[in-house]
Amino acid sequence: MSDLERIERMLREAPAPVDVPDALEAVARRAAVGDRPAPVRAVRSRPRWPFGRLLPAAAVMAAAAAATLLIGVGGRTPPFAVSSSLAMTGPAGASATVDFGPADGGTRPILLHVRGLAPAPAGRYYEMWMRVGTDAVSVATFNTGTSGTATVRASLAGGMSWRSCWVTLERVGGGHRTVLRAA
Amino acid sequence: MDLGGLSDEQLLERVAERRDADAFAVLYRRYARAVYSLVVRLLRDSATADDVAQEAFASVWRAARGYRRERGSAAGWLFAIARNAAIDTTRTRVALVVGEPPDEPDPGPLPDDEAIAEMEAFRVHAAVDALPAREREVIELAYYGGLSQSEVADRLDIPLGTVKTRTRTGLQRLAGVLGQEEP
Repeated sequence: MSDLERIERMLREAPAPVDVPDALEAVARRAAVGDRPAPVRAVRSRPRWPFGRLLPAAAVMAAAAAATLLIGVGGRTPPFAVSSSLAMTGPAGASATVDFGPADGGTRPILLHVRGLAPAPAGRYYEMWMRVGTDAVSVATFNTGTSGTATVRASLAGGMSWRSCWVTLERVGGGHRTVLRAA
Repeated sequence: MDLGGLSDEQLLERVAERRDADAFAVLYRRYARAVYSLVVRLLRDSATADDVAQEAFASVWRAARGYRRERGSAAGWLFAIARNAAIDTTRTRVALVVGEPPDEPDPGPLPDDEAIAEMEAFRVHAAVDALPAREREVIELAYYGGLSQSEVADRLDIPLGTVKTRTRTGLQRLAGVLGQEEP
């Protein structure tokens, strides 16, 4: 394929761009450089913590540790009848299994077992996601122990049609990368 | 000084080091449509795209000091800023909803595959926007509008040979930009 043919393929495969509203430039410039204009619609964003990054980091670490301690000590046997399972894999031999239980009262329990994933460094944590329609839905946040394992229990809303799941390494304040994905 | 002749990286560095609002404006005009198109596609909702695109460019201004040329191109950095701004608004927490057990998952593209496709579309849009106006209009009518070269000639009221020449020149210019590896 020649260079021009390759470029033509890229042009055809890229979706057509959307024209930018005329007013956006002035609004974006004011938001960036000058006073922020009052938003026409509220933009959902990460919560603004008044005490810097220490509070959210501590809260996430505590929650992750609590979730892990609550479940991890009991071992891998799920406290429900497993109706299906899903495997995830990652680099350097990291892996995970997600066991799904039956729906009960509108929710469906799941049990995530992680192996071979090093503990997240300070200021970072792991998060499991599922894609529901076009949304990425957070299922659980956790950390692994020094053994690189974790067992985390979570719940899914009944009736959700999900497409895939994965685990990311998140950084408090922003930024993430995928570490496990469905096999 | 003609800021239009500066590279993206040079403009971003002027924003970071000198808080140059004019450099920011040039960068905005180069990438507004690519950013806005990306946000609209990720959100599937143009109603909130205005606010998210505004937030993305505000983030560019705030976070410009964090850009490091050795870590990658300005285009890649801008893409990540825009994508994160959009994804942050779609992340939700699992809610307890009464309903049926979830369906089996569809084998859709993995998150990283989607990110690669989005990055390519972003680069294509930005590169087309950087073309000289006469080349850009024939390229857009042909590849985004789906018109034949004869139809483009009729639409613009120019000879068919001129359309062919401008198209070829535009494609060659795009090949020079898009042919470069994204670090």
